[in-house]
Amino acid sequence: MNEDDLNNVIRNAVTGDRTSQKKIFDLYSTKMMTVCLRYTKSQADADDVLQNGFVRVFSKLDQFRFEGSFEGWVRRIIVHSALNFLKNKKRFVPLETDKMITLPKEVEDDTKAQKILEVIKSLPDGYKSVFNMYLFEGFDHKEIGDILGITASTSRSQLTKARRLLMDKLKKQNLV
Amino acid sequence: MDKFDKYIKSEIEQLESPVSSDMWNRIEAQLDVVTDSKRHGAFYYWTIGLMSLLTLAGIYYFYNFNANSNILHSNTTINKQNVEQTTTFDESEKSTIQSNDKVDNDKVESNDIAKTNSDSKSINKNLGSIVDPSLKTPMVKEIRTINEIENKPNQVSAKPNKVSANSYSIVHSVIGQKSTLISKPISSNGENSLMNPSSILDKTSDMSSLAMFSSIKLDTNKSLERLRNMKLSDISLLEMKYFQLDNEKILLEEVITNPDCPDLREAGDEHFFFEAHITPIINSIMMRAKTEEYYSYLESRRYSETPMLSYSLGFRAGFKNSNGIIFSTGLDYTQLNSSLNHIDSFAIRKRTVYDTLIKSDGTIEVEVKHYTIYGTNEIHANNYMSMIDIPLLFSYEFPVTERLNINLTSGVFLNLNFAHESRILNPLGVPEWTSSSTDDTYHVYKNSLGVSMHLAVGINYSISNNMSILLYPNARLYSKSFTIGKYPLTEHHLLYGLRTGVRYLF
Repeated sequence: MNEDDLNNVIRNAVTGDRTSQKKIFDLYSTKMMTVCLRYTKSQADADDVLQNGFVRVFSKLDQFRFEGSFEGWVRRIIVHSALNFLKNKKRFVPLETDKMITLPKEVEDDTKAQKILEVIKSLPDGYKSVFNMYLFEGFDHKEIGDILGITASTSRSQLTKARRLLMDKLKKQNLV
Repeated sequence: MDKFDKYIKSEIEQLESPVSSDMWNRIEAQLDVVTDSKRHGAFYYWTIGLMSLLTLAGIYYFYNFNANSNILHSNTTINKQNVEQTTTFDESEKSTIQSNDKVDNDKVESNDIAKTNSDSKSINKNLGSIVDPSLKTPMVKEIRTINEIENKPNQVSAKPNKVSANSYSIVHSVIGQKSTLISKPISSNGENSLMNPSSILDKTSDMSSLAMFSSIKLDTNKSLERLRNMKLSDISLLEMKYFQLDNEKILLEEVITNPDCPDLREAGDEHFFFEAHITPIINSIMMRAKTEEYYSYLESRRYSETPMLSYSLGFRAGFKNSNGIIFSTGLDYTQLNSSLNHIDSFAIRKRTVYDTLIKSDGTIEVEVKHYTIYGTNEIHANNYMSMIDIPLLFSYEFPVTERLNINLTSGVFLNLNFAHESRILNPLGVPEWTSSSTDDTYHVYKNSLGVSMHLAVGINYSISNNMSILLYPNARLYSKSFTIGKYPLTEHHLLYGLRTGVRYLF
């Protein structure tokens, strides 16, 4: 889809046209799912983040100014949805039943990238958020600190620890 | 960014992960909720605006009417002033009215002034304009014109508020050059004149070509009897405005019911009352998610909870003034019922089994087995919320027939107490108890609800002199959320009720 076609689709989606909204969803949902998986621990959580993230995308679509990358704009919203999800999840203690129904994901047939993703997912939430925001979203430590409510130095140390832990885990699985 | 970072980024960045097949349907359903929620939001703010406006209008009119009543309450005296004017009383002839002239069939002189003592304002009435020569029946025109002259329609128009079985309407009219007295009892008990007709006729029979109109509606035979025995000199007690054509002839122009007049106080125009009522209520719950990530939770709560028939009961005491404006207050108890119906597909039950084995050597062996049973659990719970409120209401009530009144009410309810005992889903989809009586339950609701807006349109029907039955469809909107700030959803309630009860007049 070229840029003009995409802009037309966006304009139609702003009016609430479900077909256009579906086109946008089809275009970006798989990439955004990867973003969601990077921040969450389970597929179910990633599903929730993706669902709420896209609802937010379509709710705020009229605020898109057609300046810069639309994919980047969608990604930012999805990332913020993921961070909100993690923040709010802390308020509610997961129940035992919730843990029991989460089935372990089979990773034997996954590609290398998927295996790396699984390792990233296994990081503690704090490490994972800082690592993802720094590496993939390009935030600096001050921005990360502002968003997560921590200091820049804490962000820096979390990133260092996240890197070290990730490298250890990847080495154990011969992924680096 | 070091090598390791670049490696990870290059591996992951373009990775696409599969999305579950029903994801779009879920998003679409949630988008519908968002649209619905926005629509509800607009309705909610419009309702608050409308109710606030009506409440303010009620307060304004209450004070406005009271201010007007104060003017009306003052005694009316008659001043003579010279008014030179020309008027025509029928289609063919003109009569010149001059000060101190005599009155005959063709010429009328008139000096009329009704002066209100309270504001020392003299009201000059131009008799020429009172009677429109083109009108065959000038009565109605007369009233309208007087109102226009005074530019205070509310002050001069008699608006009887109470019409009951014993109510009467008297119309005295002198039209054209002939004086007539028309008395029309509204009831059918045969009464056809209230004031002493002969005395009125005596006073008015010489009047020429002037229209005269008066109307009184009274409640009780007792009041009628008082009125019947009243002397014309006592007319000022009734706040009657009249014209003095000369020293001998008095034209009764209009009667304004005066709440301060001891002879009319019991006529029903102003009174205190007491009401008792019960109101079946349909409760509309308007929930909204504070952030987008709780739309699915919002959906699950909406899906799992069903409002049930609720009710309110209470009493009110109020005061109604002569203009039909009512202020009332009292105490209302309201109970809102709902039910939770939830199916937990991932329910588990844990079971422990103790197997005891007595061996041949006399030893006892106990084997403990733990079982986890997976299944579906259906949960049903009846929830309730109860409130005690103080209503502060303004109403406007006007008669449509002898017995039937229409009432428009607007105002606020101040919450005194809020209690609840309910089971609702938490954001993880697990039913939890929430109760105002214990602190260790899921904390969702506030302890007090603040102010709610009330709007009602109703009728009341007099079944006797002192008793009316009430039927008021009404709406009450709780403008503040029932839920605490930390809870991810807001919850407003709009109650539609049919208030039924009785009113006793003192």
